[in-house]
Amino acid sequence: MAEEARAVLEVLDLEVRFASRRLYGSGGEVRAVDGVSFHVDPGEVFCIAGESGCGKTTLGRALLGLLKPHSGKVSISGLDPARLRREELRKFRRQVQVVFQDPMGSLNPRQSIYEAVAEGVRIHRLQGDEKEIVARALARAGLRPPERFFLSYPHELSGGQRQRVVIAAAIALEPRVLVADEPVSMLDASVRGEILELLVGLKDEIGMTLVLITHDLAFAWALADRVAIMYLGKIVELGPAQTVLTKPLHPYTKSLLAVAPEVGRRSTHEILTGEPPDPTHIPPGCRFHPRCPVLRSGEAGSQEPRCLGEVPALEELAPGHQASCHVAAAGSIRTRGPQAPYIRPAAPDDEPGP
Amino acid sequence: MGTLFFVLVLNFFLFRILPGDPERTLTRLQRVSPSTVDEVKRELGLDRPLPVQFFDYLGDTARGELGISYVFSRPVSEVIGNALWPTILLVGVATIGATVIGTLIGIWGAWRRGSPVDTASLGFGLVTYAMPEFWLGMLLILGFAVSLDWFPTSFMSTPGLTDASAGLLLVDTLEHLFLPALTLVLALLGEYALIMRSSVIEAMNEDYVKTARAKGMREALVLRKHVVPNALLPVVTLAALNLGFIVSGAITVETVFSWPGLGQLTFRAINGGPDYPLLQGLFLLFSVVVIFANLAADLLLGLLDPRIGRA
Repeated sequence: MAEEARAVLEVLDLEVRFASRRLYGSGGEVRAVDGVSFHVDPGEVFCIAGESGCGKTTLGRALLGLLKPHSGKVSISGLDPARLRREELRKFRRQVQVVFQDPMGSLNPRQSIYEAVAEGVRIHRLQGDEKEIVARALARAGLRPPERFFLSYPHELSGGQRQRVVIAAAIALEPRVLVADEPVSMLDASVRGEILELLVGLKDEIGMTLVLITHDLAFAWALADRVAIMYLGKIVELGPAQTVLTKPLHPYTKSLLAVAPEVGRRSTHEILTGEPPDPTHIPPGCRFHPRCPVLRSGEAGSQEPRCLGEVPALEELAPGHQASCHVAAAGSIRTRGPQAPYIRPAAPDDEPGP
Repeated sequence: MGTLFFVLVLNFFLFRILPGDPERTLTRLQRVSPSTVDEVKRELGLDRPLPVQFFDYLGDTARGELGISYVFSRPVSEVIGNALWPTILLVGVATIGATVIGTLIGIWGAWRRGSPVDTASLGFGLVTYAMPEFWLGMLLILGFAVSLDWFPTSFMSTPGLTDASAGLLLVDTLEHLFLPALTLVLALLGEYALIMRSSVIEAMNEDYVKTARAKGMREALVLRKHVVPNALLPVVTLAALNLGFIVSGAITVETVFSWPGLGQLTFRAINGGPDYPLLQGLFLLFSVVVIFANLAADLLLGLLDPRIGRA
């Protein structure tokens, strides 16, 4: 990933808002994604991680052009879905495909497997024999012999097979970017590794870029080149997976890692306490401050007023490693990260490490 | 079959609990001596012990004999047969009308959720759904038949219009059909619209709909290929299950409009008697309709939904 390589995906100051409905009156606005910027290089596995409700799924849907951002822009191979006309939008859609969490829900129960995969092929009028394209996509997704699945319906397949169909339908279009939103969290543990392995394998085979959205840092550790940690709609830490997960700078990342299970290690780290984040009431200053263990323990020192009143910027604190924390930026935080990774990869041993 | 037997038993005893004695009602307009009333009772076979009557009834029904109507003095099967077609016409038109219009309103409401049109159609559907059918029918008669004189108030055809041309007869029937059918359509519409609306909203949130959009499918096509076919399933069930209730629910509407169908027949069978054989025959028919409507719904769903079809 050379520095000069043109980013395949760029997000600039993206903001997505939802009107929050109350029983009485119009209520406030929820900023699900609140000023997010990052770029993803071609061929990279980029992981967006965070608690549920942090806006990672919304961010993913904005990348797909499925919802209109309030401001900022998304650009994939130079195309911004929010600014495209219908015909161009169709071309854009071909380049970005999606795999959702629930493989049952992402297949129309009344559509045969063949129809599900062929649908995109027809929409984009791909060159070549439709049957061949469908068969190749199914085979690539590990459903062999593909013809056996043509006339099956989703309910006749297992969860792992269904997710393979979803993946086949996505890669049939040979997209440049594949957004996978929690692609394995609804699957049995035994097939999770296989599906993740498949995704990474396909990424290399087709030359895609993989955007992996997950709450599970173990997958980020196992697969990702770079990781972005989100909290309440903002990226709080971003950098190479190994660095972020072994030498985290932001207290939120540290807390997340502290709760990640590992056999034989008793957590000595800060467990997250306090109220879970409410996106309708974003705290002033650093949005993590009400739950920040560093602040609570008094380690913030002279930075404390800034934590409470000033929004920290996402700054590069180490080469390629950005974090938005006043304390970390001031360098007053003691380096206390452990040497070994906090978590074990849940994927099989032959997983490519970061 | 078990269900049907249960219905037979219930039909027999239920109507005998009804207040009123057929022999008295039948003779109430004549000056008759008590002995004549007893004679009528004997003729009708109502003087025999109840268990004997019951097993006679079971045997007759098994042989396909429904008995002679007290009120009409004709075989029950013939009386019902004459009233069957008007009801099939009325209920059929009303069901198709309500399902189609209700479903379309539901789809549109869900698609333009929260728009004034959605709110208005939803409110309208709920109001007509909540209205008693006979009252709604009377209002329509007042408005369209009495004040405006656009449509006839009652019956299925204009009296005396027997040797007119076929075309004229058809127009005449349609004119008579309009108001009662409209009443039933309005009464049923809201339920279908409501179910379809929520069903479509649910389907629109499915991941396969998002996936189809992400693949670049046009919105109209997404609606047609993914949303509506899946949202339609509960409506199919509802329509089939409703069929039985509509037949019996048409009682009030048919009475208000003097529509010569099964509903009105039921009304007259209860009032003029109770006319046990006729009521038993009618309710046997209603039960059979409900049972077959259920069966039809199951078979239809099997065709529409691959999850059920390929067991």
